[in-house]
Amino acid sequence: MSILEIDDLEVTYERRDRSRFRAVAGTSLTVGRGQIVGLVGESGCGKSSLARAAVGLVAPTGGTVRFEGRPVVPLTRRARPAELTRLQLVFQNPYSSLNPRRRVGEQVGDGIATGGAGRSARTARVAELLELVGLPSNARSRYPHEFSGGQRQRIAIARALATDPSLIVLDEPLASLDASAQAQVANLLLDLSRQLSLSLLLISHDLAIVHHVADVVSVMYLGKIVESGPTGLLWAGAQHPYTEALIGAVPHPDGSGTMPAVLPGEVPDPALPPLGCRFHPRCPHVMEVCRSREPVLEPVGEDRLAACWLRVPETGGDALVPPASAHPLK
Amino acid sequence: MSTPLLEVEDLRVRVPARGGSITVVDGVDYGVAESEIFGVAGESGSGKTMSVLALIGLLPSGATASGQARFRGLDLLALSGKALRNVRGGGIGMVFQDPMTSLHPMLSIGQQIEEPIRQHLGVGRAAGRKRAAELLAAVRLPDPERALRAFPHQFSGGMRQRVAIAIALAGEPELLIADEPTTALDVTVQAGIIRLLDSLRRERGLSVILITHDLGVMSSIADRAAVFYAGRVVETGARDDLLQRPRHPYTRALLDALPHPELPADHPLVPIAGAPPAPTAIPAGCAFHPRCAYRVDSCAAAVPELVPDGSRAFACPVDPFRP
Amino acid sequence: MSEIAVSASDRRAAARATRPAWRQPLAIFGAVIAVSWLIIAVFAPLIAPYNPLAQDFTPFQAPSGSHPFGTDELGRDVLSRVIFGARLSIPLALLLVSISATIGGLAGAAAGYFRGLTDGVVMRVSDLVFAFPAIILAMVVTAVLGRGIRNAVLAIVIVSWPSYARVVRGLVLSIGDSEYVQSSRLLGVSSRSALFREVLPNVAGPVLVLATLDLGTAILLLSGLSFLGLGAQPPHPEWGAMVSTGTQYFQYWWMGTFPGLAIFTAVMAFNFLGDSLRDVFDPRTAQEGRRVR
Repeated sequence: MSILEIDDLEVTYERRDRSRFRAVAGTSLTVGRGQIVGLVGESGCGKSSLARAAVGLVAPTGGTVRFEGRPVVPLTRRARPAELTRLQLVFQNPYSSLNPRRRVGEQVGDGIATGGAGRSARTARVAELLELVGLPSNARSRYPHEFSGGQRQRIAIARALATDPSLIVLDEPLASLDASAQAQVANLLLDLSRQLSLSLLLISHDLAIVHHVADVVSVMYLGKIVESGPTGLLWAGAQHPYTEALIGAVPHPDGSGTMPAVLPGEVPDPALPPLGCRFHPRCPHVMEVCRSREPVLEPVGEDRLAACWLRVPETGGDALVPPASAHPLK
Repeated sequence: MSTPLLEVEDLRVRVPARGGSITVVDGVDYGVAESEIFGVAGESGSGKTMSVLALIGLLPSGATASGQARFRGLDLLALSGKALRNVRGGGIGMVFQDPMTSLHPMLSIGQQIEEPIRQHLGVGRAAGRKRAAELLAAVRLPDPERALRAFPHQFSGGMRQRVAIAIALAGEPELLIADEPTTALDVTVQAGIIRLLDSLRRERGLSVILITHDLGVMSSIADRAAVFYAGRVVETGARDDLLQRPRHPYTRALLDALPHPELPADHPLVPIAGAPPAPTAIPAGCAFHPRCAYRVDSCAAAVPELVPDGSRAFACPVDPFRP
Repeated sequence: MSEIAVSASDRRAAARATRPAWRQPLAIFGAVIAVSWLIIAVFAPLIAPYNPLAQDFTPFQAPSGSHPFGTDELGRDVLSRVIFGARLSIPLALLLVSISATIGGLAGAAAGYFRGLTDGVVMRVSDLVFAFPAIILAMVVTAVLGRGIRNAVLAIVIVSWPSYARVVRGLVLSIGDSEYVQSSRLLGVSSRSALFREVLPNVAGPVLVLATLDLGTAILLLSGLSFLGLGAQPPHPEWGAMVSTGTQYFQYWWMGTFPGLAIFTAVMAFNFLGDSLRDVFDPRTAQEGRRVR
């Protein structure tokens, strides 16, 4: 059974001038037990909105989110039902996601269910959580500002682990960190996932890290998922031109002086998405059908999905652009 | 190395702090040639930004700089007043990280580019406008004429950064300092800026000091680079030497801590234990030694010198990666 | 070898700027004076040379050895009256500010927490109060309720509470939307617990700053009302009332000047104190030294 099922989710925002736009325009995603799913995309693709809606911080305007079979209800003033606390979120900025005036131990202990737990049991659990993320237990009596960015992010992760979650959504957890800290936290996430059979939905714009950490990757563009599949297969041969462009734009630290590929054009305003395929104005392989009809996410191989007319035999058959070839290795 | 455009020798920068001052740049040497892109890599707090701010006199108040920074024979650190203002923009241009805040929100693009053009080139309004449009075309901004009349908020991040580059080039400088110019941008937009810097180098003979924490970005266009750690340069060399055959353990460790998507996904990511030291708590001797897998006792004894080895140099007496 | 010369005065200025807030010269100065007035208020009966109400002396005596501040029109010792004036003004101001802060804080917290109608009501009433200059509104209230210290206090409370409401409401709203509160809620913490655990501790600082600054305003308003005859009534030795009497006897300058100086130094001291407290609580300046890039 999937731990998290997002079905045709829509999240609409209202701008200052009262115009509305769909940040998430109908996306579906599933995360299985113990699976690490990476969600990649650039600014304006809606991945953060999706993360917030998935967890219940924002109410969706369409579609459903189910966690362990139950619907995810947006937060109200009442305390969250215990079953839903097994779905957690870690924010991007470790400097603003911890209360500067409360001790680390207190914040990490927020999620520990009070039912019957005595003081010492609580303390023991906090120490356990801190150890799980690689922090010394004396961290509990200190304040967040005494720690580095990487350590703070680990505190945030420890706090999320307090409710014994089965899935944690992480919204750009490494973006604010140094190279050293990024590697440490990335490895920590991998270890935790394996150790605790913990599912992760990792949202990031950093494809290289996602490539390292995620089992399955979904690519988002302008509010929709355009491709998804197992990480290795996706990298070896992208099925959607945007994925191909994204992968090609990542510079490699290999000293070869190869410049990354450029994707021409700009991301359109989400309030005015292009007709037909949302990516068509920038697509190097655009066809007539792309300008008028929006492709649907369909299977294109084992466990792989893509929303592209090139992959649909009826429309792509004649043009038959072969699946994007393996990224040239040096 | 061809005619050096900029030679930095024993640059030190101190900033005031409680109970005295802190050394944030501690004896840095490097050189930038003409038409060369020189990468400066390092994590936050390594002093890379301070070292270039010293060159154009933009250090925070109370900070002092010592050493030499010869730009076409002129000692930048000795300049002040009018001479400094001429160099700033006329000889050396600067682009900052965040294009959202580095442009004036209330002035049109045209006004922002024309001001330095007129100041440094002394031309009239019409000529200034014409050159401004040419500059916007040079940074590949679509429809330069219209862009001149537009305002920053009407542009996306990538376009704003191009505008910022155009403004920096308005005084026809020979050297452009770009401090993390792509960090705030999406990866596809970053690719465009990287190519732009490369073409500016080829077409105009522009030299660039490219400060970045992203070794991938550096690898794409830098000809040569220096790696900073805790206010010191620990290694310099040609791009391929540095990234394919690093000699300093920190450079090696940085590379190992990066994900390499071109390699299989199970290629290990090796974090560097600990964290970069705060400027107030720099370890004795080699600043990196507490985190170094190859350290020996003598590493704590003395600050290692940057020792040349052919066209490269590195500061590690242990030299564990000797070929 | 060239070095950018930094003058000695620049270095001193830089060193001063990086000292923590509570060691700034003005803050220390303010604290010393404020504490002095507090001590005077508490120990007035022991410090004052004479009974402030005793009309035993020759009126209109200039400052001298036996009467450092001279005597007033009824032959009372001005120094003693000034000292006892502190015993009146300072505790009243403290009481006043406590009540305002409590009422205003509760109203603001309710507005920020419940939002909707509660927020609307609190904010509109606050707007109404803000529409009038404080002293005018206070005058109106005392005119309606009658003169005297008690009504003066009530009037000033009515005029002061909205500032606290506004500050607390703003904080409750912004902290309530912060990521750490959102995290708490996701972890199962109820909205109410979050209010007490996360929001209110962060509210204490700014409220304290506002209250300290407000002490100065309270003293000023109290004196102002008494000056106009609406607050403390004779024979109470209230500073404002004393200044008022002093204006009738300009040639006997000591009668109005010394109470006036008392008001001035007390208000100034609390202002300095409040300012430095503000720096203490500002997370950026509170950290020792400046951050280095």
